[in-house]
Amino acid sequence: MISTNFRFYLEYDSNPFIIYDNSGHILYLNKSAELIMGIYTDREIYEFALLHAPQSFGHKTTLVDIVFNSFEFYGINILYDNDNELGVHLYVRPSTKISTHDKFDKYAMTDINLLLQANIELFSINYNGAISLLVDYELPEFMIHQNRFSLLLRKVFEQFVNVDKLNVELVMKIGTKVVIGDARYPIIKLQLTGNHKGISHTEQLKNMAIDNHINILFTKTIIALEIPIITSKT
Amino acid sequence: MKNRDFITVSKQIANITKSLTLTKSLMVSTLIVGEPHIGKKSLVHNLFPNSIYVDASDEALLAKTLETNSEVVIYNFQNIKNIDRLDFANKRIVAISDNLTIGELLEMKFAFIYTMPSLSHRSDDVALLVKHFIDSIKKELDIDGEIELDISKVDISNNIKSLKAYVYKQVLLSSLSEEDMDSILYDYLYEKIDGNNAYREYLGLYEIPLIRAGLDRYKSQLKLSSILGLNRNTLRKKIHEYDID
Repeated sequence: MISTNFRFYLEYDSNPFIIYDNSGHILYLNKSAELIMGIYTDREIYEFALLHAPQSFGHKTTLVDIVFNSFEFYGINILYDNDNELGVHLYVRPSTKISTHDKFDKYAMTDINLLLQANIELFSINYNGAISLLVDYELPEFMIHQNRFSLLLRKVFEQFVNVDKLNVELVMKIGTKVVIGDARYPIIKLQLTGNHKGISHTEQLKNMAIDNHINILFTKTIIALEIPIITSKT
Repeated sequence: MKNRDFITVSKQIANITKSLTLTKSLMVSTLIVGEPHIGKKSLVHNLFPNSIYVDASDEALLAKTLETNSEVVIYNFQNIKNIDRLDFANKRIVAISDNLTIGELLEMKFAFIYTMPSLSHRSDDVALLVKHFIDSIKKELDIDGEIELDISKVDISNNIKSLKAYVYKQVLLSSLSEEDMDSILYDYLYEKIDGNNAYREYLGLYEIPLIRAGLDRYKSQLKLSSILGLNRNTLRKKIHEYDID
């Protein structure tokens, strides 16, 4: 057996890896797992892992489609080595599309609140329900491809035209970053929540989000955009 | 084109105006669709008075304009045949179209798409516009006195264009004196009378409006014959002759 720093290789594996203790507390998580923790709670992943755990020591790989919002996995491996630790490996399904645009070509400093407000006005023309707005007006300007992002916003809003009540929330997401290329960017989260299911065209929205370097997350009643705060083109 | 007040109390148009105002400093592409003559171009001109305006009917000129300008208003956009060839990248584009059909290509070409309501959906605006046109024509022609029109009878078949024509015509008609009508008839008949039966041919100019107005007012042929001092049968014969409902 070779003597090497296995931890380093695990740390930068593109597949999330988490070790829990026997009460479900995290002992270790690699960089990829950090990203999904921003969306799902460690408890939810732990409970999901218990469902697929082997009955005794060893490991059990289950090929199953798992969707944690924008993250899609094709399998999970649960590893038992002793009574005190449970290892969880999630296998990332490769994305079918990557942005074909130059990294931040034609991005410009933009007040996102302005674009959001313009889209709410546009949406209100054909929407008769109530809109509740929770936004942080102190958000800094950052770089957005204004046209492409506006198009995405319009399409996202259109998903909620038949709900009775729409909650719009725009806040800085603390403690989470998104990786684009080699750089990590803080995130602003724009979340639209309707009071009943009405979301479709998710593939089109996903592709449009990718073109904007944005993570898009769906539940039955929510669409959330994780927008990177890009402050320079390099 | 001069800036002019855009007369509206429509909530939808207020939303469009606000949204356009918010985005007018951004590099986004906007499409405004709606029936002809509902004020699309006036609305845009008020918000973008200094933009380059180009008629989409001339596609060569449009392509050249887009090459050299970053802020362009394109009107008659419904006449464009090759939409996918237009490059709107990093430009501020406002396109105005009379075609209400928005296909997938346009859906993905424009970030903002507004459908402006026609006058048939803006009854409050119709009343405001009628008042505005009456005031304008009274001022232009120095007409005194109150003029009231029945809003339910106005012609909005071609939106503001037909409404304006209707109001102008009605105001002119209501301001005519007997001398004016006499003069109009004189000019008309002077041009027309000819042949050997002109008296019978043109008597209808007087008799038809007289009988129609009388029937509308008194609702009964019997009553009207008495008012006109005509025999009942004579009146009935004329109604039949002139095919009056």
